[in-house]
Amino acid sequence: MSFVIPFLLVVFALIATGALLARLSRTNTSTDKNNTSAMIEQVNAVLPQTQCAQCGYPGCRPYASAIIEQNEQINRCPPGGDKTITDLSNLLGTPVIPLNNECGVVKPPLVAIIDESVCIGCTLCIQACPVDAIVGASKLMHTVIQNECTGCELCLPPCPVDCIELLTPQQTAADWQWPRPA
Amino acid sequence: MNTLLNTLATRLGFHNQQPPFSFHGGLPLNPNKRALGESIVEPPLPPYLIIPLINYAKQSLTPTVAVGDSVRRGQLLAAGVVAPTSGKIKAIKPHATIHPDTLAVNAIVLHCDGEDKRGNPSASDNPQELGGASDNLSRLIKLRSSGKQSQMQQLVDQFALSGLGGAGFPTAEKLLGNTTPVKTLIINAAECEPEISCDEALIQSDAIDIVKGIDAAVQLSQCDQCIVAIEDSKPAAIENLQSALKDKPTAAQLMIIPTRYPTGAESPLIECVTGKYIPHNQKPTDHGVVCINIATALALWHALDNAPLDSRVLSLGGQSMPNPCNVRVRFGTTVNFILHSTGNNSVVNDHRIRAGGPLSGFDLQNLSVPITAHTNCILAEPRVEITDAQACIRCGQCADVCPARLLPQQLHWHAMADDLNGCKQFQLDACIECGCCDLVCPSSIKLTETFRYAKSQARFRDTLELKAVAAEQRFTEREHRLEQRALARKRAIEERKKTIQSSSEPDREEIKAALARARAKRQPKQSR
Repeated sequence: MSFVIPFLLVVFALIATGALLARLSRTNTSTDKNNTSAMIEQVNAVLPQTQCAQCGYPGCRPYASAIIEQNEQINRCPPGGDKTITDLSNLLGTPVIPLNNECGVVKPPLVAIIDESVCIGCTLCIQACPVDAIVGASKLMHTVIQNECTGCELCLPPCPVDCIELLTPQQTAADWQWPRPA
Repeated sequence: MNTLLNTLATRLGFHNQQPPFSFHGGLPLNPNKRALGESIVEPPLPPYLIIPLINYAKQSLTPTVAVGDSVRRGQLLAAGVVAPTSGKIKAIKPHATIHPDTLAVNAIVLHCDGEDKRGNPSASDNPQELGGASDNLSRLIKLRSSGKQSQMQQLVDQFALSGLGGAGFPTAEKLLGNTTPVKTLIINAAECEPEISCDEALIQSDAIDIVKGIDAAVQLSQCDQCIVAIEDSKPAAIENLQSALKDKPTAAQLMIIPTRYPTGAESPLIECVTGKYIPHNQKPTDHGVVCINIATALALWHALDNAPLDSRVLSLGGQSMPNPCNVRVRFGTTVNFILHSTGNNSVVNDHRIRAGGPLSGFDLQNLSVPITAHTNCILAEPRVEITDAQACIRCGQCADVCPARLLPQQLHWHAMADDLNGCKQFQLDACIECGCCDLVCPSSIKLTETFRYAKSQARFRDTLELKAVAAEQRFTEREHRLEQRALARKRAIEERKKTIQSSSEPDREEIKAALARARAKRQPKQSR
């Protein structure tokens, strides 16, 4: 009879350790998940939020998820250019690689402008705009909210009358910068 | 020696124990007020005025008038902008402005008819509303105490008041828009920068009205105490103010402060008057302090008297100005016209013309630019070879004279390396661009230029970041909306399927019959 008690104790101890380990591993997975989403958040913050989909993903956040979850390359963002690649490599501890030219080329910041006299009001560009920067209604003129436009060019292909143009934004007093001293 | 003692005193914590307190850094500069003469020069009205449609926050304004309209002096042209004289609007188009890069902004070109007719056509319909200054003041106070914000704003908008000190912040907002009660109202008559003497000239000519304006500001801000701060290097102005203050009993007291650049800047002045240093990330109003320029107080009085702010006094000075003087000009008068009408046209071609003071200003590339509320000075200086900057020797003199308590030598490295985070860490935002560090630097490093560059870079980066955050938010919201819409459509289809399946036998027969009819109708069309 006396050997039963230590045996029971060992069993209890084993059960307790098992339960503890199970709990620990569960918290581990949840922190992993937290870590992943935090990393996605950090990568997303580095991306320029142009939402142009040139990287092959439908927007900046999906690309950020792909970088973290599917080990996607960090050189697929033409609007971000070299700066984004450097920032991402600093963040993720990966080497700096040149921009993937298949995704696109680096361009100066642009904004879309609709030639309102040509627009037929088809609403196709409104549906294409990833940041809801175009206002208008069916068979009525459309216009771009300049401040919200990211210059992603996604409105260009659907336009049936080619009335959208991308221009370098006009310099305003608010974003004028002092020249760099010699 | 003086600087050294002052620095030592500040470092060891020996501040003056009663007002005026001392402030950190600064320099005793030669006031050199060449422009100060017997009286203020009043040049004739120019043939046309150019009024930029931009506010102090550099946002563009929408004009409330159209090309071809006739306007009277004082009529509103856009929010916070009035016509400086009567005439006809000839054009609304981009025009070069007083700006280091001569940036063009949308502007109204007003051809003056020379009659200078005053009055707002809409206001003249009910002349009983157009009371005197004291009526307007009591009306404003009544509106304020009864909480009628929109009516108060409407009245204030017609004043077109903006600060005449330098930054051009809307004065009404300072006096009326405070959430925390105002303890101290400081009237800034320090005018510390060399060459600039427009406020001093105003005090010498208009002290009585200035005191009325100060009294109005006291009543509007409901402050506990009001201090008029003036530098001790202006004895005539002090005497004038003292006698005017004696004649009109107000809560305002005169405080004579030591002449030390830049006491006239907001934060050193507040430190000097109250002994409190307000960190750059806080506003004076958070500490119950409001600071307005003395010329603005006078403008307030005139505005209450139905003469909105449409002109200012500015100093013409500098080494090469043949006829230095203080002139009263309407907003929108071009620099070229001012120089010509005051007999200073000889400097136009072969001299450096500067807008703003010798330390805080910048050189103009184009002289057909209009003056605005914050152009306090135009200087003519000989063209000189700029001495090349030497390497920083880390002497630390720049830190000793910095009124914002910064480390310019450290900031310089970060700014030149485009390390904006480093600049932020060393509080570049606090820099008031006074130029003291430039003056003392033994290596002639253009520190202020570097800081202006880095500050504008940081500002630009911040706007880009804000834009990115907004774009991200719009993108996520759109994704969410599209998802919801797809979900709703799916649900609707399922619902309809369910209703069709659950419908009774006769219903189905009816549907079949309808389908057959539709098919029959379509048949002949196709065969045609």
